[in-house]
Amino acid sequence: MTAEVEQLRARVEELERELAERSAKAEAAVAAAQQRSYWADRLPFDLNAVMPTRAGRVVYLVLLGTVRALQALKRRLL
Amino acid sequence: MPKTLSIVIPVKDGEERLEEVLAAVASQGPHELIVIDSGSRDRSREIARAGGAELIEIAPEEFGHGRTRNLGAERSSGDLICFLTQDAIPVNGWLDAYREAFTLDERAGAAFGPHLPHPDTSPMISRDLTEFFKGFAPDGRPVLQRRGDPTFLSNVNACYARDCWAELRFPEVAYSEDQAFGSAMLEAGWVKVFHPGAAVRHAHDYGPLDFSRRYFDEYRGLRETTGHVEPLLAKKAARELVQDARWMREQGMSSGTRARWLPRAAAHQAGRRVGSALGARAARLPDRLQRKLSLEGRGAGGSGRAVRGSRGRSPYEEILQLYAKGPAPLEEPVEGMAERTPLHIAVVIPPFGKGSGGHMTIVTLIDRLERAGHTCSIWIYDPRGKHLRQNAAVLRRRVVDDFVPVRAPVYKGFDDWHGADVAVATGWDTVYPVMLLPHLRARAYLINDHEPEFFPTSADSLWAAHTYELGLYGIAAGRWLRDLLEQRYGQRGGWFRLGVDHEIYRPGPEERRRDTVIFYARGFTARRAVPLGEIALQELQRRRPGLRVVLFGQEDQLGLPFDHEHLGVVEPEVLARRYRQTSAGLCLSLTNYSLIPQEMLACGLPCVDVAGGSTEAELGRDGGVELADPDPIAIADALERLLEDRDLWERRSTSGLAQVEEASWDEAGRQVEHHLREALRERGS
Repeated sequence: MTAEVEQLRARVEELERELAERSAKAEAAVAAAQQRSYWADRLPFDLNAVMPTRAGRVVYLVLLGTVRALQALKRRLL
Repeated sequence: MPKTLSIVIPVKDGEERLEEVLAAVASQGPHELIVIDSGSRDRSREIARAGGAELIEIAPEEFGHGRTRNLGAERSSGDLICFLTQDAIPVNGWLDAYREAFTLDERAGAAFGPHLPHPDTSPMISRDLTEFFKGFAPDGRPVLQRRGDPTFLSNVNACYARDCWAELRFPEVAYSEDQAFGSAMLEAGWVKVFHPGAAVRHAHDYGPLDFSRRYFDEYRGLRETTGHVEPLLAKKAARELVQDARWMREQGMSSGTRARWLPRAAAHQAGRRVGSALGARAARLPDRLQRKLSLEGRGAGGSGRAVRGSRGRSPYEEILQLYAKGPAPLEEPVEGMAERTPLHIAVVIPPFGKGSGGHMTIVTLIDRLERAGHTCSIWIYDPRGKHLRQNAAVLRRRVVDDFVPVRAPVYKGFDDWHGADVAVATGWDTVYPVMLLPHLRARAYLINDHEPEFFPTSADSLWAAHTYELGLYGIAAGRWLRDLLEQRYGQRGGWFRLGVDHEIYRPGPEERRRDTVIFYARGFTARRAVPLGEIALQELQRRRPGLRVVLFGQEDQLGLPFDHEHLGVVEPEVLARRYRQTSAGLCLSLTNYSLIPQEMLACGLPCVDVAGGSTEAELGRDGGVELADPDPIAIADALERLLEDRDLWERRSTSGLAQVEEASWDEAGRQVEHHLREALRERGS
């Protein structure tokens, strides 16, 4: 009986540890995703609405390319 | 046993036809006749008494179509209650027809009969009435109406079974209480009877303009009670005009008479369409215009108007839910859960702005909890939509940039709620959602201040006070606040000492400018008593014309009557440097103490605050704070002492530095961690 209780305690302990690890990983993953998506989320329009259409994708990628090219030019010149 | 029948007639200035009405009613032998007069200025009351009616008198402002009829029903005793208007004259057999109507079905709850025109009624109205009521019983026999059938019911001439009335009662609406009742009774499973024999002579024959205004009232009432919106159909008016012409022909009217009536019929039908369409949309019209358009002269106010709810989410939703359903149950405790690391800690915060000291404390503590190995998440409870246009990633960046770089993710609202070991409420309004969150082992409450004092006597102040009585484990900023919460609300819990970031706030090589006062002037935070500080500085500047005043704490300028430098909200490093360049600080707090006096002291800058409050309790009388009574002269005196008396300044500066030497965020974090574990331990015990 005592052995069984001890076994169950150990199992609870293990599950608790697993839960804590998973929670930590999940929260860290969400934070990392938020870190990455910050600039996309700061845009004054909803990318999820723009990207499904071909025209939206083209306009967005052209704009992005232009911004990147300007940034590269600025780095080279300054 | 035959059913007894009471007649109720609401009256106001109804002498024109009342005598005739009462005589017609009396001739049919009712059990009881009641007249309710609401302030008649004509002979109505005398006529009622002479007609053998029991007279009930009410004030004109007490009248309501539903309310007054409910009163009549309450004061009557018959099994059936029959309502008439003061100008509806029952025809022979009217009462017998009603008696018969209620024998046709055991669920018969109400009955109504046709309105017949008077001999001199205009042809448009005559046709309208006759054809309208004929439509209910084309074969001239009583008709039973059930759920799904027309709901029309008119208290001009209607009769109710007492049980049905008592179950539903008339709604207290400005108009169309009968229509609302007709709809409700069929929904409730009662049967409505149209009996062609229960007829009254009743017709309103107004001129076209007044008719239009009457329709305005009627369709405004219909919209308010049933939501019906009448379209403006010009074609319908034309069709009605053709029907009027046909009716006149069928009634044997001569072509000359018809030619005389047709222009009026055209005006009548057009006015009717316009009046009913406008009435259905009255809510969009200004009050004055509604009064002009209404035949009753009723505007939007007075008897009330139907206002569509915003259909949005109430900012008090969680408060209602908590009162209605109680808190969500906590998870069963697990052995040793309080001692584990990492704990999963969900911190629920109110919306924030740059420069908020409370949020700085919260986020700094989250940082220390993370450094101790715990997993934290931040949940923004924003019921008023302050951060409506910013999503979670943007808000997280703001937390990191404006306060402290934490690892925790930020969630907006609770759609992604996934449980935690402990949820921590951090402001009074965050307590309510925290109480409703499931999958928790404990709840705690990080209390920065005594928030009921932030509000005048109000629902907010009540709800804020109530949060301390909800059983959360309280973690108060300072001993003074802890004692207050325990003594006033019996809240259990612990306290932590606000920390100081000694990397930033420390003595430095900068030279102090004499006669310079730096003032924490966050004007929109009322507890900071900025007007008190403002006039104290005005007095001080009068005494010392060379005094230099520096203000910080909010971006907007205060518009003070004396010269000063406005820093706005600045980075901590900039602020610390300014503290080191200044000779006295002024930071007032009428509730709990805050970070600022400690940070000033950590830079070797003595400051002035009001005596008798939490700053005195936390930092004492002999430390770095020069205390003054909360009056402008006393505060000016205290500042002047610091500026004048070099020994006093040195003493305060040295003891202030010593006082805050031990205050650190690491220690505050350890204290908070201890209390969170304590909250979990309590669950386990």
